[in-house]
Amino acid sequence: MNFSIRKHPSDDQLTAGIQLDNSQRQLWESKLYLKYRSMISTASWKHNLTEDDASMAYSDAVMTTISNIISGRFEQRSSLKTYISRILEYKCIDRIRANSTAKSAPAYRDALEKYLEILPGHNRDIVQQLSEKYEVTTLKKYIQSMDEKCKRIIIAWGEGYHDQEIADHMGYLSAAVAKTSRLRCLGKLKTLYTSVTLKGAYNHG
Amino acid sequence: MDERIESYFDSKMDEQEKGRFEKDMEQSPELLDEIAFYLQARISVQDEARAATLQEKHREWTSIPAAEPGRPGLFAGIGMAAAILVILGLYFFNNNLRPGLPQQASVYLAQHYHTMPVQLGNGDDALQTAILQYNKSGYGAALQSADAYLKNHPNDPEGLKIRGFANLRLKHFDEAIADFKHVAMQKGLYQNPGKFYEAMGHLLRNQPGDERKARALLEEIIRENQTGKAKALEWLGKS
Repeated sequence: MNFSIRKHPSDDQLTAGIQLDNSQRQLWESKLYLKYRSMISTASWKHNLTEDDASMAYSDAVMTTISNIISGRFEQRSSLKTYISRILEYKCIDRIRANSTAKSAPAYRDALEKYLEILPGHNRDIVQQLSEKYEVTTLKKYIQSMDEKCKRIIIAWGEGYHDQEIADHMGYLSAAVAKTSRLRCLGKLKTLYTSVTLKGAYNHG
Repeated sequence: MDERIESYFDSKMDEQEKGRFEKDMEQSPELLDEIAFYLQARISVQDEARAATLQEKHREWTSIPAAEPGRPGLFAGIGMAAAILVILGLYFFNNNLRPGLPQQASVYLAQHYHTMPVQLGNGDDALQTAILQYNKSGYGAALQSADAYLKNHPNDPEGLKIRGFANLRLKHFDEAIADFKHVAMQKGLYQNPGKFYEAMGHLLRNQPGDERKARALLEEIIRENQTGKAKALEWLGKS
């Protein structure tokens, strides 16, 4: 076998390749991952993370970068190297926090903050306080324990499928029917959550 | 579940509907509780979906080998293996000895680097010409074209590689080693076989001290997990 020289693609080539809407995108995503893979050992050393944790944080940072390139949020004000390295910092810190506490990770809180900003100011705090009743980790566990149809429709919604796509794939008559079914499943999830946690609180009391 | 919650957070309400909904929020603690649940459920499923995608991507990306070259085809592999066996067999027959590193390098060069991939999109014809000449065994002409190319691109690794191999084929070992050393020093390549080429140059020159130098380079390649590691392990009898 011949050992050949391989050059890393430039930032412009990578962003253009990742923005392609075809099968080539996957190839460019891998090229981006490979280009800065050496950040893993630096992150592991700097944050005292295991190589596995640092590697996962790096994959997470690359995935976030890819999604920001696609959505246009990466505006090329900095190089991809700087951009990924900043995101990797946050991902490493998230991982350290997640390893040290079972409570909601900062990522969940950030996501909630974005939604709360939509609410009128005086209702934000109330909804934030109320949301603490509904633990994300526990909700995930209960979603898995739901009946197959509800589980599938809720997960499809989480994956970003529109109601029309859900209707087409899961055999609902229309997008409206899929939406009603999905919201009914969310209602069931709330009942399940409330009954189990209330029962748990009663038993502990 | 109140359908309006989703429309509100997806900005699918007109101003009038939005105003009515916000007014209802003021009067209904149950609605606020339902909103809190809806948001947490939405975050849960989105996070779950993202985590699944991340696991999949992580598995895919971490399975990409670290700068390993592509595998040769089955028939090419069989042909190469047969040719190497014949050459090694002849060597053993003649010398009744285990082949040394220089002999292994000679066999290796006899079997590899007869053709180089044509570089696309470089925009400088001199490099393409050098590669095409090299691939037709026109090593002298390839050397001249590579020289011309390197005048304008003195650090280009592909140009240095072609000139290095043309020099190697013409047995200009000192020049070949200098070119390969130059390749090895290049930064920003994610696969740089320069050190391996340089070791090969020393083994083929086979002057006093060359084998020692080549061994040191091969040890370095193994230690630093660089391109050519598998071959270095094989040559040093460590595989």
